[in-house]
Amino acid sequence: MISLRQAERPASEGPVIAPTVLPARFLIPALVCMFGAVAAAALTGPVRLSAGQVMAEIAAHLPFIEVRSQLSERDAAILWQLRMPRVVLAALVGAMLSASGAAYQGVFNNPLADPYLLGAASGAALGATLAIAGGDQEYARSFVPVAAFAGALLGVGMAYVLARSARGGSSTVTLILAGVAVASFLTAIQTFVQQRNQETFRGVYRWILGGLATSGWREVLLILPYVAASSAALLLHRRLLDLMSVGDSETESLGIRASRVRLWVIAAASLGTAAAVSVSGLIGFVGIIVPHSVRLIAGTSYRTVLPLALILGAAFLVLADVLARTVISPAELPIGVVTAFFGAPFFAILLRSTARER
Amino acid sequence: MITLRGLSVELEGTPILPGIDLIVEQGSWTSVIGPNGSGKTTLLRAVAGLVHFSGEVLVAGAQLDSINRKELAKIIAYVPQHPVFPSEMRVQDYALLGRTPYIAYLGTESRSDLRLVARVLEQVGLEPLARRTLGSLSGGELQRAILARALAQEARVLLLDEPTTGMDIGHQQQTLELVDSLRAKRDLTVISAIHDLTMAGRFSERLLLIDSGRACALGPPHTVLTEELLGEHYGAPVKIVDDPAGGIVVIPLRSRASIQEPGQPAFESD
Repeated sequence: MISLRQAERPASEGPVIAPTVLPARFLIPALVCMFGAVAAAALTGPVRLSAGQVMAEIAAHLPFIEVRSQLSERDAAILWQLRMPRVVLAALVGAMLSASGAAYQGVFNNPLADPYLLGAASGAALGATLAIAGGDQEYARSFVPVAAFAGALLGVGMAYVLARSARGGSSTVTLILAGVAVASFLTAIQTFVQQRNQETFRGVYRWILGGLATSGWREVLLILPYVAASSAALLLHRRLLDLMSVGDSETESLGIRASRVRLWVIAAASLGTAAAVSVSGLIGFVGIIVPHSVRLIAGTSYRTVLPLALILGAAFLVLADVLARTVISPAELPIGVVTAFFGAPFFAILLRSTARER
Repeated sequence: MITLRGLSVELEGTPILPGIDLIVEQGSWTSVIGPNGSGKTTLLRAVAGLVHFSGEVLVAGAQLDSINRKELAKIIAYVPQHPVFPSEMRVQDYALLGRTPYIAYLGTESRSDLRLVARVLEQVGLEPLARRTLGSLSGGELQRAILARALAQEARVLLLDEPTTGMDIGHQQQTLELVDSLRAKRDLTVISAIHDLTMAGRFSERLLLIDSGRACALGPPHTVLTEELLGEHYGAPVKIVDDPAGGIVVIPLRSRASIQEPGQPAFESD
């Protein structure tokens, strides 16, 4: 029976609840997955490097550890100049796309949202392309991330407005249809601009189609600040993303402006997406596969989903990149082909289960 | 505590409430009754600051528009008719959402927030289910979960939109008794919309009858729950019985025409 059984106690005493936090039983395996993926990627390639030697070489670069590396100068160069930047870049891009997907799903209350399907990624690619085509090269290069960010916001904004204006605009699928339409349109413009400026793009900016193949430490340093800022902003919003799951009206009645949370989260997720796209080109479905797998295993609270999506998104894309460069070796598959190969069937299953719930 | 002066609401150009005046004293329970679509929900949403209105709403002497959203959430807790229950969320995390107005935008909950929620869950009898997910609760338990969230707001005013919809008679009674005991204990001001007229009369000190957005009657239950008023505004014949133990029982009757329809089998034997 429900009744007021307890006399009021002073406010400083009594039991407390233990709200959902990220438990170690999920965090530790996730970190093991990520470092395992990084190790596997560092060891995979046309030149065989021994696992022990690579570990010793990496340990030798860590502070406070006295180990003598046994790798030859040539092998060390392969490890540090070719493989590691690519692995680290894949990890950053994967973490960012995955966390952005989780965040978009939260603020749009839509399980199918993804940076690629919402038009954010295509918008970022268009913004970057216009910046490169527009200016002289050195000046343009520093302007690329900003233009990509503006493009990403434009893409999401167009998809959102289009979906809202549609009849029955609240439907889950409407937003995705609008996003795909916007993405196709922006990609068409981007391809047009790129083809008209072939000379500008050849050589220097192969990234739009080249995936991670041409990456180096320079690209890592280029996107690191954006990825860090965007991830931090998203993680800080994890409590509010949980709040948003009760809908806009109840969020407002609890004292938070839903539109304010939506604006900040979309800005952060789009900034991260833009940074990722500006070094890796268009990679789809990471933001769908990883967050939903995390939810299946660890529950739906953003307190666990966001950190795990970052860590496992990194692991996923590193492994996808290993596949991309080994399946038809010595040639390479674009990494987006690999993610779509796994992502599209996953998306189909998700679509079916979403449709069944309604 | 709450004063409405000429409160009017228009939704998409259609006037829903053409002007309501009402004064609600602190610590009292006022129920808004009226037929479907009469504007009960809109009235509550206006007082919760969730729809645009004209006229005046004064909360503890201050204009509603002049109170920022966060401060308002510390004064008024609103329980909608159909709350969104994220099925995977745990009961305790859900109740903790009620502490939102006390937590900085990007902040995290303090130990005293966690303690308060533990106590609220105990008060509504959900303590044993605190770690369960909302999806695993029954309708009555869900209603207590949203009540726990509202109580966690530590607001002085509780707005309840049909708090007993879909509940059996036992759970209806338990829920309303719980609200009433909390009202007495914490000096809460309760404004509710209730469909069940007998229940509304039992628990509220005053009833406001609205029809098509207009206030038609306001006063203690025995002045509002009359055969004439209910017959006129609900379009349904009712019989009012004074319960010797206190309270009023509203009995719906079948209209004479439908009972005496020739050729129809009679289901009721007199």
